[in-house]
Amino acid sequence: MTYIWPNSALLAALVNYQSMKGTYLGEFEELILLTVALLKEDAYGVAIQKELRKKAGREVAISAIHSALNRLSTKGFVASEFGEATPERGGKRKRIFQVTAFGIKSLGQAKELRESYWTNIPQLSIEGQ
Amino acid sequence: MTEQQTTANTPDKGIQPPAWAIRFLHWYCHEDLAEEIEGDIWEIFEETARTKGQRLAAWQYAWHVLRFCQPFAWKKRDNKYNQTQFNNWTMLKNYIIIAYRSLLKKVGYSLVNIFGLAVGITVCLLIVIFVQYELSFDTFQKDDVYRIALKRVYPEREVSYAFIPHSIGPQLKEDFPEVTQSANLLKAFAPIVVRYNDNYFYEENILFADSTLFDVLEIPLLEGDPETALREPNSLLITESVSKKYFGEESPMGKSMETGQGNFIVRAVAKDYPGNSHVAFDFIGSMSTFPFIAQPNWIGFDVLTYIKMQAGADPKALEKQFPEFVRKYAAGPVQQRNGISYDEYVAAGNGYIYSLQPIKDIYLHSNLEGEIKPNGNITYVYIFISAAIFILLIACINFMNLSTARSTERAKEVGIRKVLGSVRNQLIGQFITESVLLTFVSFVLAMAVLAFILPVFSDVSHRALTIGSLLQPLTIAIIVLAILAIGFLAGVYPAFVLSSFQPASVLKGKMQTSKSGVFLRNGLVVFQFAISIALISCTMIIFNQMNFMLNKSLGFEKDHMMVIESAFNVNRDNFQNPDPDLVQIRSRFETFENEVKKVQGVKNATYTSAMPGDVMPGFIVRVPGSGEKESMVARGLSVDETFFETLEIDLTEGRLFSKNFNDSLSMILAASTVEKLGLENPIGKKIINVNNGGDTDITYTIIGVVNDFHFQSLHVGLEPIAIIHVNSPNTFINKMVVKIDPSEAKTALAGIEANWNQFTKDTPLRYYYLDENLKRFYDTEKTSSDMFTIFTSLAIIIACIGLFGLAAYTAGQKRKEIGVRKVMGASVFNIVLLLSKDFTKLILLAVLVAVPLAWWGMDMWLDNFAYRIDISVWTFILAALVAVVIGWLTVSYQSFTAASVNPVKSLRTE
Repeated sequence: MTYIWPNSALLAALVNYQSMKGTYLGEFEELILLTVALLKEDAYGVAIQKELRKKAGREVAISAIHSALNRLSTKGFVASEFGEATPERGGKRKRIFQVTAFGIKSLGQAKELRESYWTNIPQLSIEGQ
Repeated sequence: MTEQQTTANTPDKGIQPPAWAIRFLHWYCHEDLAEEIEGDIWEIFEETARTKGQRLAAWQYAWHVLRFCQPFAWKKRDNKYNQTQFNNWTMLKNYIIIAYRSLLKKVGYSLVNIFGLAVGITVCLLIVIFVQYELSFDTFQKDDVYRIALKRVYPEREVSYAFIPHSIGPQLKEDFPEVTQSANLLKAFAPIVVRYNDNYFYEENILFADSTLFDVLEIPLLEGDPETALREPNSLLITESVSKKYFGEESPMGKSMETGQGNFIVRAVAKDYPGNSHVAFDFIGSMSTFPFIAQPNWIGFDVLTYIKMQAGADPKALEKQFPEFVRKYAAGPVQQRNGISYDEYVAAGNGYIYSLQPIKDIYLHSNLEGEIKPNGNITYVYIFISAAIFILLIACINFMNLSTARSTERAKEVGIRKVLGSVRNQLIGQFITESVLLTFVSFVLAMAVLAFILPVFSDVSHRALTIGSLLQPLTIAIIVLAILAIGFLAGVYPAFVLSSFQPASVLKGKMQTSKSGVFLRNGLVVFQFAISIALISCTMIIFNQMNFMLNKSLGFEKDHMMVIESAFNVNRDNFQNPDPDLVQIRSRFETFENEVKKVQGVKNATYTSAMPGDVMPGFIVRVPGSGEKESMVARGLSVDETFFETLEIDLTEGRLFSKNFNDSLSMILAASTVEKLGLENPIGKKIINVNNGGDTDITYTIIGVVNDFHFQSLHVGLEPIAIIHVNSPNTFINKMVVKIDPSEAKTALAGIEANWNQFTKDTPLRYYYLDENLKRFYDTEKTSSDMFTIFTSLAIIIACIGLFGLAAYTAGQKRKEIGVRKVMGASVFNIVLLLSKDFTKLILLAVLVAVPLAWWGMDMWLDNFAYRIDISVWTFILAALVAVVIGWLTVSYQSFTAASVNPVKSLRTE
């Protein structure tokens, strides 16, 4: 069997497929992303957890938040850097997250998508009540 | 607010999360993520500690650490140079080619390697087939069916019976709604001649059963109606092959078959019963044929009883009600028989303890007196499973040792591969692929070997084993998984060792031997030999115990004794019922006995109701006047005058049965029975035989005491036995024993057969030799000792293969050292000694590990026997010697080759 080197079109398709898969924004991820945007320079694990509890009334495990942040960062929605070392937290630094431009764009797209649905079904909210 | 509190609390060093949790976090967690994660959960920890207490905080911390153990947080082993998704298949192909080439490069090694593993796998498959067969027993039976077992407690002993009084089953069904059906079953204790027209045969597998049998046992009928098949007296069910044997192509339904017990009408034909059941039969007659079954019976054990319970009913709850049930129904008969109240009887140490055995568990878990056929034993199943695992382990260890030993040669390959850009994961993958491949080849070889060896193994284990049982989807899936697992396990260590080489030093020709590697390899050899030595000693101890049991003096002569079965047929003519005139019967028996004694080569002959090895019926004896508690259940035996003389059982006191006396009410006891009855000067004393049925008690006079003899297997101790004359009321004749002069056995046999044919009609002569029959007691032990011998030899072979490989490795390592030593004047012998010394040490260490284990295990096994050997130290010394000698022989080949190499050759290569 002869070995066929993937041609550029194939590669492009692959990359496209991968990026399509990668940019999908789940409901939970969206919520986290919004919280990060809201908290600005105080956006790190525990703070996000508290904010979620306060705003959305959701009790989320800290590990789930880290896992989601990790996903968001591989997808390029957030960037992060270490904050300053503080004596509390056993002297460990916080990782402060920040929404990237791409993240903001995606949030906007998600909102638009939703709104486009809502405009198509205007009577739903009225009849529901 | 929060910050103030935190600052206030910071100096308090008492608050610390559990250290192990932190360590665990750092162990699994990626370095880049560890700090922030630790910080976050630390923050939560501090808050919880403040608000809800430290204890909870510590638990919560640990819980968070566990929750974080997810793929995203794990340490990543791969790096960006190892992303080979595009050409995985090509690499795999390359691995296979390289594996093939390196196999061919050292054919000898590869063969040894494959062969060792193949032997291990073969043993494993054999045991898998064996265990599957053992576990398949009675799986086809109905659910919620139980057999009632009885533990009969006597003041001085306990006996566990499979048979119980026949009124219990039906009464249980009446008294307890959860018991929906019951059926009694009875096995004919002697072979019976069955005839249809000109076809007649001795038949052994004859059962008698209630008409409800089909509700409790799974017996598919080919012809006949289960409702009515066994209802009428003298009905008969036969199996398909019996039908062919007697009737050919004719339909057997409604035909009459003659037996000594009367004529039976065939009313049903069943499929041949599967071999993997604790029940076996060729014929089932209707229980209603026997009039005694209509009489109530609460204390005489006569039938096997099976009950069916409502789906999901709790058998334990029913068992709890048994004591009350027994009291309700058995108290009356007990009092009537023994003359004391049931409570007094129980207080004296007697008891009937009934329990329920799930029908599917009977084969592996039950070993009672009166089983339909000899059962298996779950302990042996466990033993063989562990043997399989150990042997497979030995084989895997071998594989590891041989592969690491070969690493000297593969080191250069590894070096080159690393220089060319292989990363460690790829090399590990390569070596594991190689070992999975080898495992697969071994497996194919093992299957081939299995096809040859399985028939032999079937013979040895006395079981109908077929390779077909491996071909079920689940088993195949397990085997495929096992191949991968074995390949992985066997390959994982060499893979890690080989891939850890530093390319620079390897290519320079320097071989590293790490301390831990040597330690591990030596440990593995010790482990292998410990298992082998333990197996050798176990085999020897089992052999010794078998020999002990087969050669122990049983108190009677067992050699050259021919036992004629169903000797009562001498009195039968053409299947007519026996002559009711007792005197005439005796005279005909006597004439036959005298004729047999006249045959050339016959030394003596005697009639008896049972022989050692048979189940002897219970016989209740009581010493009159000495308190009612003294009643005791002994075993009853009736014999004629020449019995003791023929079997060479010695008289210690009084006299034996004699023609000069009327001995119909005389009794002879064994010495230990006299002791148990508490009799002094027993001769002339009276003994009352208490009868179960409606008959009156009979009083006997003790006329003699004989030496003890073992009429049961040596698993159990001596039970009391009472011997009466065949002329006594309520006795019967079953067998004739003929003592034969071994030099004239053929003539004797011909003479006996000629006489037999004169005295009987249409009844073939059936006989066995006593010593052969007694060996059957130890069939289970014999089978397992044979199987053990096979496994032990295989284990030793595999362990030696491993040692062989390791010796080659060491010799390769010490090539230079040997060269230098030879140049300095060492002799070949010196060097062989040098190389063998290390292995001897290892084997001796293995002895230390193996001996206590084997001692402990075998001591438990020996406790199964009432008569057992003591474990001798010599057994272990011998086992160790065998191991050392075999080890030396294995190593010596390698040592001699290494030692006789010209030192110039080994020193030149630098």
